[in-house]
Amino acid sequence: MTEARYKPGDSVRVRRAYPLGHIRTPFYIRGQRGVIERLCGSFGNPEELAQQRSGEPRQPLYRVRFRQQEVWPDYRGSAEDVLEVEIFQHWLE
Amino acid sequence: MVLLTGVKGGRKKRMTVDELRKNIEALGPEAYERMSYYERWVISITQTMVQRGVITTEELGRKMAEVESRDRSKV
Repeated sequence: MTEARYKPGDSVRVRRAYPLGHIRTPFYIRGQRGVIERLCGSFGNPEELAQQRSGEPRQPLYRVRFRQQEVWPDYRGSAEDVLEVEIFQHWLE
Repeated sequence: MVLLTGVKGGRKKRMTVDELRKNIEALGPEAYERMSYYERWVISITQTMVQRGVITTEELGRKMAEVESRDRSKV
């Protein structure tokens, strides 16, 4: 199992990468800055599991909080509005 | 979910939920829009079984022809 590098409150940036395959990280969130909300646990890597491989070592999965106004340039809601996305550690930097 | 008990149940795991998703994502946009939710599942599960060598395209083709002729004989 890969060790958790981040803790709640840490600032992170989602990798801006576009590899082929089954990727759980949504396109719209790649390259965005957010804050770790919690560690959800460790799970088999879905990118590997989708290709008939073991998915080991398990990867830490975090719930990451983003500001809606930063994610969507034309967002008209409150500046307090946030979006939470669950992202695997190897997609964070 | 009945559709998946045949491939996920038992001791021998024949597919993962990530393979299901991968093969749904591999559908062309046109096919994706045309199909219902569970039609996508059926296509994806079938594709996975072929990829894993559980069935061959030959066997699949024969079975599909058999089922089609079964339907025709009823009408």
